[in-house]
Amino acid sequence: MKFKKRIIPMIAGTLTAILLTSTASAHDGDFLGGKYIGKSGANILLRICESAQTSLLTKDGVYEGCFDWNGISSNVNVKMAWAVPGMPSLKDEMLVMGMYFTDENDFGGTLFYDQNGNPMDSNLDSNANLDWSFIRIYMNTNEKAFKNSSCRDATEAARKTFIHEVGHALKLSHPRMNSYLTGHTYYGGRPQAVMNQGYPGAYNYAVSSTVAEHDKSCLIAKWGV
Amino acid sequence: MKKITMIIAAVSVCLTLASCAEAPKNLDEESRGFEDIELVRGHCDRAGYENLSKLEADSDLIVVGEFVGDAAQNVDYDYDVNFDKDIVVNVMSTGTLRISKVIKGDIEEGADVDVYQRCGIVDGRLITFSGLTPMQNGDEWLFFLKKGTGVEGYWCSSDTFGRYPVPNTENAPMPLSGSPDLGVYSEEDFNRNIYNEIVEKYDI
Repeated sequence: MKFKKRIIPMIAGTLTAILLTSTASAHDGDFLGGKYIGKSGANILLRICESAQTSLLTKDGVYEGCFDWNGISSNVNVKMAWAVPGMPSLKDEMLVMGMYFTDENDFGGTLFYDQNGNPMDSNLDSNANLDWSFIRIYMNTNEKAFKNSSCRDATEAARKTFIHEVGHALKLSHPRMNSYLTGHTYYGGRPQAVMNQGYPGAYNYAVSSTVAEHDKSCLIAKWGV
Repeated sequence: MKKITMIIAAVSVCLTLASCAEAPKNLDEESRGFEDIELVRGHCDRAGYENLSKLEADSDLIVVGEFVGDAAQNVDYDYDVNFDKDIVVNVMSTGTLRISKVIKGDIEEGADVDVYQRCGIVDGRLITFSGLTPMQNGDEWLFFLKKGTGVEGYWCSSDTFGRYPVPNTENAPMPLSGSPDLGVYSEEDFNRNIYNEIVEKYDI
């Protein structure tokens, strides 16, 4: 009986230590403050507009990459729906648009909106009270953005971009470049993360093609276990 | 006594007029367009360059130039069912760059080129997807430019990788930036390692 009384707190303490350690590589500035207005946690529905359904972007699970953010935090649930002609709008949907940009270095982006549909600044620190209503993600439909000599695989790059932008929709920022921060052991003081900008594999593999441990720790730090 | 008084008054007036003519330009007045503007930044994913060599190789033009004239902008809207109205989805500005020095590229000094930037002022707010501060008339920078697909103009190569300060040049104030001399909103977006290579290699 005495043994049981001791072992349970020990297990609880060990689990707590593991939990704290798993968020240890998340740092101030890795995620934004605030929440989604009217939502509990980050339960988002992404609707892939027809404009975003180009031949490159619809193959090999580019958009299905958003599901890589699920199963990490119980308060994060990413869903996706393909828009088809005549399909009615879905409640609380957030649109993923295709836009043709002549800038071949611009892969995609995210713009954030308040409850009145006005764009909001998204580049504030973790302590900023930045409650969003919706986001819009755009993907560059100029295929040259993903077919560059620096890019090892076009589909992989497009998929990474979408996962990256969904990360912004989940209020994650680009990681700080500082070699003194825990886990920032890659090129220029980066952690390995999908939230790094750039083609997968860039900066000596600092740019991850999918959700990496640093990203997971940031997601948990933001939304909880 | 009256004559002396009049002479002193006349000299005073002349001195006052002369000091007005020679007074330095109040640059703060020129930046008043951004003093009361709210900054709204979206996020982008872009390519990057690990060093100057890779940036040079991927750029079509490497030039020093000055922005001339006012930038023109274009704003895209789209209907959103959640708000039941058209919302801003994209902004883009086009500025004219007059080239004063050519380091790379088939272009002449004195030529003008269009430079694009994803930013613009909408309803009194500067909406931007660019980490670079807006183009301002008279500003001079070192540019690494990449031609846009199917258009005549150029983009700064991967945005913040494509524009750097020219030593000993003072540009117009930019109150929206914590690091206006660097031409970026946030100093951590400035590619210091590449700039150090530039200063060492280029004669500008």
